[in-house]
Order: sequence, then structure tokens, then C-alpha cells
Amino acid sequence: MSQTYVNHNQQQKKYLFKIILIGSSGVGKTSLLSQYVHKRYIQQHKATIGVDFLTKDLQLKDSKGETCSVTLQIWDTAGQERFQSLGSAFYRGADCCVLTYDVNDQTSFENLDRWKNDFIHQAAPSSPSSSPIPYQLVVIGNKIDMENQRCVSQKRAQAWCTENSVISYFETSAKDHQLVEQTFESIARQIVLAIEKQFIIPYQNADPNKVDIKKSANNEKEKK
Amino acid sequence: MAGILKYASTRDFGKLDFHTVDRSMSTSNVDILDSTMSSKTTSTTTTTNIKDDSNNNNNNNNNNNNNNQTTTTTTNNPSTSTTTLNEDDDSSESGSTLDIPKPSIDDMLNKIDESALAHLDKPASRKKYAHEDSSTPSWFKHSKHFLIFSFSGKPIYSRYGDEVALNTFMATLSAMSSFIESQKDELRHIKTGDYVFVYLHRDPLCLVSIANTGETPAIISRQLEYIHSLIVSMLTQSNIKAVFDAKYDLRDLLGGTDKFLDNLIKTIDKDISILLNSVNCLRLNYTPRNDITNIIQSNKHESVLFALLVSGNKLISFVKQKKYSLKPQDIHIVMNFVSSTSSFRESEAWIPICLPNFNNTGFLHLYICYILPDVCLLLFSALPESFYHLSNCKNLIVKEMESKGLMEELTKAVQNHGYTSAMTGVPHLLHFMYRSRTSYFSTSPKFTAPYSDKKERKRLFRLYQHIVDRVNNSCSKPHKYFYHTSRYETVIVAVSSTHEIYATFSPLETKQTVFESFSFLLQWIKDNESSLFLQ
Repeated sequence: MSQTYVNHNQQQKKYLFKIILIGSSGVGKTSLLSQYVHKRYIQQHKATIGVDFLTKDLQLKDSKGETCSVTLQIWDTAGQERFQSLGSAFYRGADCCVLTYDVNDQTSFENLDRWKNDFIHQAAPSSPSSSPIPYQLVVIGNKIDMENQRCVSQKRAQAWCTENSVISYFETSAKDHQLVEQTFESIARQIVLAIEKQFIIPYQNADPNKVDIKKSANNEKEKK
Repeated sequence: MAGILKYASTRDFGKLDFHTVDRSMSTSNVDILDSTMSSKTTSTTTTTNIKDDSNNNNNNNNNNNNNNQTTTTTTNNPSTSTTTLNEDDDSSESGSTLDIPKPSIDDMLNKIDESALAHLDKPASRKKYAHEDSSTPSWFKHSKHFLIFSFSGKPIYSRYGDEVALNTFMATLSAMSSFIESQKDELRHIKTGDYVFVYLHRDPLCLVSIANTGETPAIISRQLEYIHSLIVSMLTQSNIKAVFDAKYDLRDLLGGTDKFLDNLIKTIDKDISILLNSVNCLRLNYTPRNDITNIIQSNKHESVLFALLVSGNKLISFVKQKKYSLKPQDIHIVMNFVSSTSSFRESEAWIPICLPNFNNTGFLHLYICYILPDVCLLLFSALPESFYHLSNCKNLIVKEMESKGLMEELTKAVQNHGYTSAMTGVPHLLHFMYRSRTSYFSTSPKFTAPYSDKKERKRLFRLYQHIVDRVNNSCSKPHKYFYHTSRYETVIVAVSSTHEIYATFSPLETKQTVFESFSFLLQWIKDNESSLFLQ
């Protein structure tokens, strides 16, 4: 309902999503974002302290083919162990959690389990009654430009994703700017679709009388 | 924390004081901060002050050590949120005896769509500073920011600038508070140079004000509470929780309501009755006021919980059902809502509104009608279908008031409601404010010379803020008298169990003349009690 209202007033749906990037230190989270937001690759590794914030505006088509504008609020967290105590509340209310690993680094892949559990433990609403999966899990394998050093195969990564109900798996290279933009765009699109689906649920469950009233009150705005 | 520090270093804030709640705060908190700080800015020194809040007038914060626990339980279990979040024990009791329908989100959206938004003025380009954000230097020049975001760090409102463009800034603010929270603590305020960052956490919202106005954190915190109440009044606390849990964007629901927030922010920065947590009354003689109250009382429909007759932000008459009571904060929220919307002046209106201190879980229905150009009748009912009853009851009230000639009397009273300090006949008196402690009513004269100048007026208001804060929130025993002399004025305060009075004189007066004039003033207020306040 809120969407139709916005539609009516501003012609375009507007979304703002919180996306957090987690993963072991040095897998290239900051580089990935720097490439995505500033189109710049940072050669030198400088550890992120605590968390850094980036924002990116996108135009997307939703399931009905209407253009909507999306603002991504990206939380670039520190991968280092000593900053992990800061993490707890950072995860709250995230629309998407991007688990990142380095395809050339076995340990960073094995750590995905811990990162995922960490996130689910701290971000998930503890009462099971509330909305089933309010966030999405996505995995990015980074640094695919160094193909000859690769030690985690695509197959193995995808198997892990299926096992852990991860929605999508992407491979990128922050250095070569390979698939970076596409990855984030498709993440944004997935959230839009998931949210649209969520909006329909309360609508269908609503009391038929109420729906009638609603329709008569908003028939101008109602698109369907 | 990098984002925070980046901000801190660009603003060249000399010192960061973290004021937090928990007395038994571990030292590791400081350690981590120090290490993060030193790696970015070497000149920054960190001191952690543990604030003594034993006298904080905020009920739900009284138990400092339990505070964190309350927050956790509310986050974990949304179904109990409404009871634990209730700010006032007695009001929640009174509210719970009443069966107020709890609408679903869809219901609420409908209601907002149908009624509230229908009365909003056109959402024209409302913001003067909409183009600004944290990347424009001019944004940092404003002396008092108000920002609202959800616990996840998503922007909801900003007084200046575009809230979406400010989303990383707000995320930084939320990261700062969640960092403190991860130490099982709560961030109250941060002092950095001339600026103070004041936080108010009201799950799932976080309100922050950044000010260099010299106001004390306690005063700003009270203002944030008012702003939070306004948001609750539009959506109800249960709906805010539900919206947040369902990941709806709160901004969609608050669309077009920014001007209420803008207006309230302006008002709380100059309104003496809000400063004193009280309600100002329209000056009116006892007999006509009594007549009006009787007329409303005898004509009001049985479903009416509260009936208010107001002029601007002044109360003319107030009738209520015996078992319920209304807090000054709620009255101000309603008056702000009514006065911010010019279209209410043209016709009767019927809107859902939540009174946060009465019952923050459901909507009441408010009938609004201007019976004179500046006099508005407000009737609250719990029944959504009682509009015609209330409209009829307004007709009866107006008819009877007309027949008794009270309309003319009211028009006259509205025209001359203000009075000056000179009219009190008290020698040397420049200005004063008075608050009854038994009835929550207050009075103060118009600002006259030397305070007719806007700058001077603001300065006196800021001084009053400090003194009110000192008088009400002092750590030691409550003061009975308070005497303040500065280059510009002398302010004397007397507090008793029945009233608070703040009187301003020229700084050149001797203590003796000040005290003499002061007792004159007390006598004047006593003599005029019946016209200054509702009885």
C-alpha cells in the first residue's frame, strides 16, 4: 500500500537498502566497493577500521517493468578479528548481507561459515513469528583475475551456497572491474523483487471487506 | 569507526567526550576507542565521562542498569514492546482500560491516505536547504540539526538537507551508538568542541540532534522526546514497530508530514510553555470561561474522552472524562498538528491521531472545527464512526455559546490575550515565567523591550533553558531559590511545592529591590489566577 501511495505522489518508487559486506580481512571488500562506487582500484591494502559507509544510486526496472530508484547504503565492515566486537548492532536491519571471500585463499572461503553464523545470529529477529527471511544472503568470490592461483573452484563455492540457502553466487574482480557493477545491480534487483513479494502477502490476507474499502478509497492510485 | 573519525577529523573537533549510562562501564571500551582514534587522528584525546543521571526527569531511564535489558527485550520480542516502551505508568494504565482498536498496517495506511493526507497542504518544495548534504560545507553551518533514523541506520528525517543523500552520515551516527551499545551501554551525548550530539533511543527509532546553540543535553533530549511523540502520534508505537519489522520504509508513511516536524522543531526552540512542560492558557475572566466549560460539559457526546477549546497554542477550556488525564506533551503535539495545517480552518475535520502519553498503541479519533477564526474546538473519541455525533455536538455548543454572548467575549479575549510585564505594575520587572506545579499550567508576558529584539529574545530563552535545567535536574537537593546575575540581566527563581517562578530584572537592581518586586509579582499572579489559568 505504501508503494502505491508513493507511486501516486512521486511517480516513482523509491527504495533505500542497507547492504553489509562481511568477510575475512584482505579479501577485497573495500576494493570492490571502491571500484563500484568510485570506479577506482586501490593497489595498496589498508585495513578498514570498524566500518566505512558508501552510497550508490541506481535506476532499476521492477517486476511490472516500472522504473524505480534505489539508493544502496553499503556498510563496508572491517574483516580483522580485533574489530569484530564492533559488529553486533551493525548487522541489524540489513536488507542484504554480502559474504565475501578470496577465490585464491582457502581460509577465507572456510571462514564463510563463521561469518554467516555471525550474521544470522546477530541480525535475525529472535522471535520466529516475524517475517520469515527478512534479509538475503549473497556470496561474492573476489580476485578472479589471478586464475592460475585459484584454489576454490566455482563448483565448490556453489555447493556451499546451495547448502546454506544463499540466494546468489557471484564472482568478481575488483582489480579488472569484472562484473562488479552487474553484481550489485542484481543484488539490488533481488531485494526489490523480494520486497514486492512481501507487500502482497498482507494484502491477500486482509479481510475482504477491508480490501473493498481500500479499493474504493484508493481506486485512482490503484494500478492493478 | 573510520567513517566517524573521518567526520571528526574534518570538523577538527578537539575533544570527544562519550557520555554514557552504565556506571560500571568496562575500561575496554576506552581502550578500543583509543586504539581506533590514534590510528586516524593523533590529536584526538578521548575521555569517558560517566554521567550522573539520578535526577533525570525521564521516567523510563531512572533505572540505569536495567535500561539496556529493556531495550534488548523489546528488540527480541516485538509483541511485548508496547508495554515495556510505555513511558508513563499511570497513563498506560488509564489507556489500557479503554478498548482502542489496534489497526493493521493496511488500515493505518488507508487512514493516513484517506484523512490525514487529504488535509495536508500541497507538498510544495518544502525545504529551503534540500540540496544540501554532508558533502556540502554549508550543511555544517546550521547551528541545530535534527536527524531521525531507524536502528538499522536508514534515514527517516533531517531538518536540513535531503535525508537520502545524508544516509551515510546517519549510518555513521547509528554506528557510533551501536558501538557503545555493544559494550552493553547506551550513548546519551557526545561533546566535541562547541557541538553536542544528543541521542535519544526509542526502539526502533533513533533521534539525534547536533547543536552548537549552547543548550544543555538534558534540554535537547527533552526536545527529542517531543519530536518522537509527534511521530508516534501520527503512526502509533505499535505500527512503527510493525513497519520496522516488516521492513516497510517509514519514510513512505511519514510522507508529507515533514512540515509537522519542521514546525514542532521551530516551536520547541522558542515556546516557554513547552520549556516548562506545561500548557499556556488564554487569559479570560473566570465567569465566561466557566460558562464555556459548562456548555461543553453539558453538550458533549458520551463518546467524547477529551474536549479542548484552543486558540493557537493557548488553552481556553478543557473537559475530560473523569478517569482519564492528558499530559501537556500530548496537548502540545495536538496543538502543533492543528496549527500546522491551514486547511483545518476551512471545514470540519476528522482524523485518526495517537496520543503517545495516553495510549501509544492505538489511534483516537479527533474532531477538529474552528468555531471562530482563531478558536478551535477539538473533540477526542475512541469510536471511528462518531463524526456526526460530534459534529452535532459542536453545533449545540456553538448555538448555546452564541445565545449567551460568549462568542463576542471570546473574540475580544483572543485579540487581547497577551499582556506585558509593565501591565503587572511590578517595578523593574523585565520578564517572567510562572508554572503551577499542581495543574501544569503556565503563564508568561509578551517579550517587550529590551527583548523585543529577536536576538535578545533568543538569548533570554537560552538563559531560561539553562536555569530550568539547573533547577529541575540538579544532582543535589532541589533548590528553593536560585539567583542568577549576568551582564545583561538578573534572574531570580523560586520553587515551592505549588509553583515555579522565574523573574527577570535589570542587572543593575539591588538584591533588595529585586526581592521586593518579586513578592509584588507573586501577589499579582495570585490576584489574577482566575483569569490566567483554567481552574
